[in-house]
Amino acid sequence: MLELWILLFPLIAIVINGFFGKKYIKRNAHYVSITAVLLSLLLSIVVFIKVHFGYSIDKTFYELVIANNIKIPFGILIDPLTAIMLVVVTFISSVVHIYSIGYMAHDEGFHRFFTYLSIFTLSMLILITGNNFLLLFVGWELVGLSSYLLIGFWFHKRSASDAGKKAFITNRIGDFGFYIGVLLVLVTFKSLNYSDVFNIELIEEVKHVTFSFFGMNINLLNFMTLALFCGAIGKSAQFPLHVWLPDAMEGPTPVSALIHAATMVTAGVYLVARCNPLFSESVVTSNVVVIVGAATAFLGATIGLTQFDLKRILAYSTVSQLGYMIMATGTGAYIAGIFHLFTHAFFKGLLFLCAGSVMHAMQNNIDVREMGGLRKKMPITFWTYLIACIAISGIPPLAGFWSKDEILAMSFASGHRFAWFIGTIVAFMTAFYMFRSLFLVFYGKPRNEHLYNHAHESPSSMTTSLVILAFMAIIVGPLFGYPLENGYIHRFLGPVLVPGHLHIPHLSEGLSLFLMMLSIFMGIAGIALAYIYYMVKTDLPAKTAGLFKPLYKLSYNKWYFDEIYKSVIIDPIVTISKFMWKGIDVNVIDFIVNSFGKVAMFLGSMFRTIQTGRIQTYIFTMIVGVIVMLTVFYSF
Amino acid sequence: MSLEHYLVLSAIVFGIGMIGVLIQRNLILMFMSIELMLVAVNINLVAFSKYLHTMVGQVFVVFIMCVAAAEAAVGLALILSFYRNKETINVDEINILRG
Repeated sequence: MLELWILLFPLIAIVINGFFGKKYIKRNAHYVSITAVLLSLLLSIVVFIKVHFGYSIDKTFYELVIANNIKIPFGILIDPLTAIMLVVVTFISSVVHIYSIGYMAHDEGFHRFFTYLSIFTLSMLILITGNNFLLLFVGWELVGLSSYLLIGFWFHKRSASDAGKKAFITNRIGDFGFYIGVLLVLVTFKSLNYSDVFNIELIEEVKHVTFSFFGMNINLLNFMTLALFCGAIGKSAQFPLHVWLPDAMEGPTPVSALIHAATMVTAGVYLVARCNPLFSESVVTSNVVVIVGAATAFLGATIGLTQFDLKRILAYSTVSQLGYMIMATGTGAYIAGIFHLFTHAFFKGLLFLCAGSVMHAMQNNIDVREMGGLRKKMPITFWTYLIACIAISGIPPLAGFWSKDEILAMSFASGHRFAWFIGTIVAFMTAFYMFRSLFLVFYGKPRNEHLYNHAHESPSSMTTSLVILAFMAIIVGPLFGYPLENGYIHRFLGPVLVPGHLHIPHLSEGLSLFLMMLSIFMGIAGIALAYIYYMVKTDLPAKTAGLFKPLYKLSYNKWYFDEIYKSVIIDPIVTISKFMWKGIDVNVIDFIVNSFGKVAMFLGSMFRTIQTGRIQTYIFTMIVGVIVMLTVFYSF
Repeated sequence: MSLEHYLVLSAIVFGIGMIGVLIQRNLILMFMSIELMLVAVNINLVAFSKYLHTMVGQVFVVFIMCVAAAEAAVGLALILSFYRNKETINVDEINILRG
């Protein structure tokens, strides 16, 4: 089984590194993990090519029957969607693995890091290759676990372990909804296999089923898809559960690249795309998906405008781009969403690895106000970062343009004009804040002479990864997206991602061209504005900030989400918990338990005097006892 | 001599042993008193054996002597090791289990 080996290689690496890493393998751990992930990549590419020629497989290896004919299946599904996800995940993962050799070279937990990376890769692979909702859920939870391990990798640092917990708990909220969704699927369709659930006739049947909940009539399909979408909100960092993603920056930078580009956050988009037969049947859910996506895109972009932490700028840009993807899936343009996921993986991975390279050079300083003028010191990092910035800004012919333009055109065509409008504005903001970071980091005068003098280009294992990703960021767009709205990606994903009844009207040539020009113009305008602000008139940013002070503060403080959550959710919970602890636990429960103990102690203190420790007293008592007993027995 | 003579002798020996265990403070003497009690039992057994014309009682006596010898070895070993630790064999000082 070729496909199974894609999963088995990382598993073998986990076993080897996990059990023998600390004592025997130590600093050679990367050989094991990288070999495994490269073999997986190779197999993924083979599978991709096979799928290109019409190969597909849906095979259940083993079924666990629990009761009432509820079957827990273990099986894999290879179709075009899985194939493309496989390539993205294993490719980005390979690059990140290679990059980590240099980045983590001096770290204590070298073998631990590579073990975790393999776990992360394996979890994501389980998530995308499973042929049923339960394996999806298993992968889903494993991804959550490994993200917790990796974000909190430097656990001795308080902020890192906190960030790990935050990511885990925030995800758990979404996972709860997802779990309910999976159970509803099981109850409704009597099966968890995709092939059984995504059955047009069956879905038609349950489409109008309603159930009563506290006197309200709720449509089953709407509720089910909304519950599933909860999971996507958590995993893909959508509003209002996006708060964990920027904090995930506390982990090592390669991890950020992996989380943001290939694994974890793309899981939500994958879920919605995979369940497209369900989601496209529910108008309510589709609209919710569009609104959440658009809100997230806007939110992320506005916060990204004012941050000074380089990795946070990138994190909010991820939030924003994920909003795009979710928005696209909501409008029914599943292919455009997955395409954006695909292109985004390359340039976002590249951006993070560049940021890591910059941090490496700046002695782990990530404040852009401390940087500047690094262009000369780090030419490879600079050029690759520039390529990634152009790609994410949507300038043709780089990757981002093709997918972003498709999302915008599709949302316009499907009648979600509002989403299109927000998307266009976000495209402008994206270009602005990305080039803002570029100009601040690589141009101008060095702001911190000391750090600047020590800056140097990163080792070759890191720059190689950058160059590979930059190359991909340039070519994947035209390769898969040309011609627009009818490119290779459409032919490839068409069979699985175009729900038959869902028809998005085609735009006229002129309108399509106009939209394309508009989105390019927005990108260029953003770049130009950033150039004026940060290259020509460098006093303008401060002035603008002063002019729109409340708005600036709102954006700088991330819309006060953390503060709101703290006062609305966390603080009340802490207060209640404290009451439960000091009021209920100490005063009631402990009191009862302690009382039992005290009674026993009192009785003990009364009877302890009997125990004299003198053998002869005992013997005497015994003899008297025997005599008494004999007398009593013989007298009856 | 009738059975009663033996039984009275046995009762007297048993009583001496019992009182010895109760009033002696020296571990070894206590130990010897316990042996006396065993001997009293043996006398009893032999007496009944003769009276009832059966060998079972005497066979029993042989077994009891074997066990008593083994028990004496273990007991003396315990007393010896106790003496090594405490430098005394006075039972009044063996009271670490006092409640």
